[in-house]
Amino acid sequence: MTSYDLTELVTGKAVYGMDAHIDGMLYASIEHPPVLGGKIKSVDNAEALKVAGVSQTVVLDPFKPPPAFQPLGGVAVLANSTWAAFQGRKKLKIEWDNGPNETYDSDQYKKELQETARKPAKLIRGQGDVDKAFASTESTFEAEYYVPLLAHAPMEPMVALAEFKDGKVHAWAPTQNPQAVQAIISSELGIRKEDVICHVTLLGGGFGRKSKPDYVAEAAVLSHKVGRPVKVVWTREDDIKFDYYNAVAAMYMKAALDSNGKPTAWLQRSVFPPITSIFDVNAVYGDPPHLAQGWTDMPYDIPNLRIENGPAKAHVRIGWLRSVANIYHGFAVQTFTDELAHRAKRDPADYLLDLIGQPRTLNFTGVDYPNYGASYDTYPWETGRLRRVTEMVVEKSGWGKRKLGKGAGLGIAAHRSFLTYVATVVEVEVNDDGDIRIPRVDAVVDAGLVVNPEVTKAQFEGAAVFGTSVARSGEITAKNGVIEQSNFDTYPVARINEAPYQTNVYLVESDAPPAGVGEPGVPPFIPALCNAIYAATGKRIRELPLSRTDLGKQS
Amino acid sequence: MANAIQFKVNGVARSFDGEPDMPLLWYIRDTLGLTGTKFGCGVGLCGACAIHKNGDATRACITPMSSLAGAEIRTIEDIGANGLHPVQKMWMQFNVPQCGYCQSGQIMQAIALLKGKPKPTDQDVDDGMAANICRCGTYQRIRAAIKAAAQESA
Ligand code: FES
Ligand code: FES
Repeated sequence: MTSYDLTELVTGKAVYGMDAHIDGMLYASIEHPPVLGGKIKSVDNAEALKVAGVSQTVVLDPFKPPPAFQPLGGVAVLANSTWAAFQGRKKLKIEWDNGPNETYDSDQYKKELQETARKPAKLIRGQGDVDKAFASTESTFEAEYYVPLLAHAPMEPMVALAEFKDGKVHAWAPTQNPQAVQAIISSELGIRKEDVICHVTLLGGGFGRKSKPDYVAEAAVLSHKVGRPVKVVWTREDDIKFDYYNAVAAMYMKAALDSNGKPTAWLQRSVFPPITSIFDVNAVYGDPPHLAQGWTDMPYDIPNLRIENGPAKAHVRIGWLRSVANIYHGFAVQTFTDELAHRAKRDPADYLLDLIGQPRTLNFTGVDYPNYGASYDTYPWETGRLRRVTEMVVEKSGWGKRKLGKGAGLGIAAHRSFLTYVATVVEVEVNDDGDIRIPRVDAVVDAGLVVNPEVTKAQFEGAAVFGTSVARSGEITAKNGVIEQSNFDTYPVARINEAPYQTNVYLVESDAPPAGVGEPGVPPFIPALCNAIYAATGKRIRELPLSRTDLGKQS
Repeated sequence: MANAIQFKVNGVARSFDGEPDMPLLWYIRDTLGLTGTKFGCGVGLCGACAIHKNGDATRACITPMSSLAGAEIRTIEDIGANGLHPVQKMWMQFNVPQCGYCQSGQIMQAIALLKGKPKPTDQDVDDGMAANICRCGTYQRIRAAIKAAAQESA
């Protein structure tokens, strides 16, 4: 980032993984099995070999389940230029045996997740007696939320250059995880980890995708097979279709309400295929570290509480993406909060502050709460800090005071993730056709001691844009096990005219130990935007992305 | 070959007699080794590959070599070769880049925008830059840097 020489970044001299080069290298483009776990029945490479510049094709073994970071398998086309490799690949004729994931269909899967979410599930954290409270109360409210699979789509597609020589591998790759590069190449080639030397290049974005080095292993395996250095270049289509997606999730929420509309009992249940499924084929329940992301640690002080998680089987590779499970958990909790505020005819910011309550430290005795791997003594969950960022964002955004134009609304949300407390107010304008504009975002951040305020602010500006992409159009779907999206036309990300016009970031001065800054801006942004849309239009967003909902005025 | 295509890249005369359908992007990157121009989507959707063709911002990934006869191509490497361009200076002053991968394309696009609209409005910036994706989300700073560069060159 700004520590890197900016001059190199603005003059095109910075060297990314995509730019790695060594003399004599071949370029490779790989046709992966279209369905996860698919195998090759037959290959006809005759036409591919006729393409000028193509030297050979190589069949890659399918992975042995679970997939972890193994190459997906398929057929590689090797050539003397990237373009020739791409062209040759288009000429391959491959028959696939798609395997059991061939029946994966996102519409059907969504229904299954939602049904599971309506049924009692595994208790993660609880207190009091929710059932009794529901039975004895006059007023209850329930709602369901849904967030689809999401792709990372960093600007630089997956790419890696590797050379196998004299029993050693040198790999040049944009990777967030060089140790994993060593581990997977060592196990793929049966060489020692110490004999894998990973040269980390600049990354053209990662967002978590480049911590999973399947693409680096591909380059090493190919170089080992052909005896030349090989640079594997994924197309954008490969990137979108063969990602480790952020999990699709269904959430069910129910509250018992007193005469003031305050919850006396609270049930929340999430269902999503877990990340652990890439390491364990039988994993169906959320693992503690990811449940802890905005779910186990739901911070409101409610006497009767049940936090649950239901099972879901994965049919694609699931992975972590910028803020991970906080995306869907934060969306459900913070949207539900706003729904309850409106039902109680309360100001949503006041109501949110009421639920956050007075400053206290959450007590997770007897609960599996990993706290982002950090010591709970050093990084306790302090509701006072969430309260303070919320109060500050109310003030900074002019909440309740600002004059808004026609069709405009403000929404608020607050969330702790990666040990950082963030409250966000989003202003949205929705026109008669249902197009949205985001004139202004205010985010107040308590990330403890901030070492570099400029870089931190830029991260939160970027998180607002990232959240805009998730909310507006982020959706990956499968039909017959094949991912339906392929490039920025079918998986659009926010452009300059769609992104927030102005994001103001305010850093709380703090000498608490430093905490995360790259991810925590995303989770509160999305519900704040959706709550703003409700304020502007009266339309409640319970399902992402927004492109699924017609926000236009019915004539 | 007799039918070689003649054109210039960053002022240097070049001749090409290979696959006429090959996009300029791969000639620039793989043949000339000018890797400042990036591959982002390959189909004209992201602007990471923006270069100037006869002064206009053009997507190198969908510009076939066969269309280059007589063309003057300019890449990021030539911008600021003799001192940084005002756009590059403002990009640095406003700390625009995060990962930086999209920024060659953003800068090429911004320079072309300012040529046509020396005093761009917000709408002009939206119209001129909407074809360039920045997945890191640096748009707010891009807008500020473009406006400052417009002041600078005034
Ligand atoms: S790579 Fe050319 S527009 Fe995306
Ligand atoms: S700075 Fe990373 S994509 Fe623009």
